[in-house]
Amino acid sequence: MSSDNEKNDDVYESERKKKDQCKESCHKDFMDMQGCCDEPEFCELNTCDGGMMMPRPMLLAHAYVPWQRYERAFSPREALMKGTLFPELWGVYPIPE
Amino acid sequence: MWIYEKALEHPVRVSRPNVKAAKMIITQYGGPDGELGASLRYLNQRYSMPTNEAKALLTDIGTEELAHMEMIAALVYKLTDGASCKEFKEAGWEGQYVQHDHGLFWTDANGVPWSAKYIACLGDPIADLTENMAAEQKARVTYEHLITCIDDPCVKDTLRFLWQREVVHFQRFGETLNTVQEWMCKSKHIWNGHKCDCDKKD
Amino acid sequence: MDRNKQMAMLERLLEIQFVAIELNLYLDTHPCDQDALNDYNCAVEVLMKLRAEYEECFGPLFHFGWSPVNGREWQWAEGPWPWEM
Repeated sequence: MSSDNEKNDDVYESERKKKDQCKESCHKDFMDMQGCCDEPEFCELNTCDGGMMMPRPMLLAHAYVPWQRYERAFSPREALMKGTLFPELWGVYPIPE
Repeated sequence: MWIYEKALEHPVRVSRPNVKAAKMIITQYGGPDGELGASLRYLNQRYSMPTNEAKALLTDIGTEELAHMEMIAALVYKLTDGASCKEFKEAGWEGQYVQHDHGLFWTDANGVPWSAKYIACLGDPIADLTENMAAEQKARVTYEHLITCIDDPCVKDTLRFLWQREVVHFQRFGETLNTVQEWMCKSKHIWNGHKCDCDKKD
Repeated sequence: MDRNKQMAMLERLLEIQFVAIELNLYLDTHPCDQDALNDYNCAVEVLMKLRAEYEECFGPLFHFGWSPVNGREWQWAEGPWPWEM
């Protein structure tokens, strides 16, 4: 049974890919943001702000969140324990003890 | 329609029965920031969302909240398993025993019954998604209060899972709000004092 | 088969199912993310295998035609139910 677990984890290890952090090339990396883009002008619809992708244009009196980007994943076991698959969503609020 | 899977989304364990803890946790069953309200709110708002993405997300999170409600039910079931009337009295929950015995019911931690007044659907996607984000924050905070007040580490683990889910849901509703607002900019030509950049597209 | 084995098998299944749930929500707001799509399909493949194995030992996980039952008895109604496990 435990080798099956490791195999399941390996499946996820091999599927995980890293993307570059948003830098000068953020507009290009950003194209994966919602994923839907072969259209370069879509890049103009978002702003790179300190590594976080925000929608553009942003209007006054409107609320926005930065776009999450899927880069890394916890193992399935750790994900279920923690309540999220995504390390970047773990610890954004202090974990209550 | 809905299909039922005969398994909890996340295992629920308790170290020992504890009626006092059950009385607190019931707020996430039938209270203002609990899982019943969350699931009904989202499943009901689907019908007036403008984009397929929003309809999908509300369906999926609404369904997950039903699974969370089931986990809360399992917690209360295990925390009151085999408890006598005396133990209910000691926990200050004899009203629950008298009215429901070991049955579950949708109330908050003070016995106030669930109400549709806890949820809203204005039919405006920005108002509704913003309400959903507020709801996720309130649920997150309520779980923090519960985790602080309850000592059983097994129960804390389950509550912490549910706490983290609220954080993730907040992010998803926020992303949907981003997209819906962009959609409204294009389709309703919101004027922002300058020529809207997205007018250039299509 | 004993309860411990049942819980162990179920937890393996719940782990992969949770990955699928998380990726499902992510894909609802990032519908063209190829990595997420690939990982989701990966999870589904593993999940279907784990579900079949679990159901072989412990009976159906789903009702309404989503899980087969053996021809001899209606296992759907059998315990334990999730809040009893």
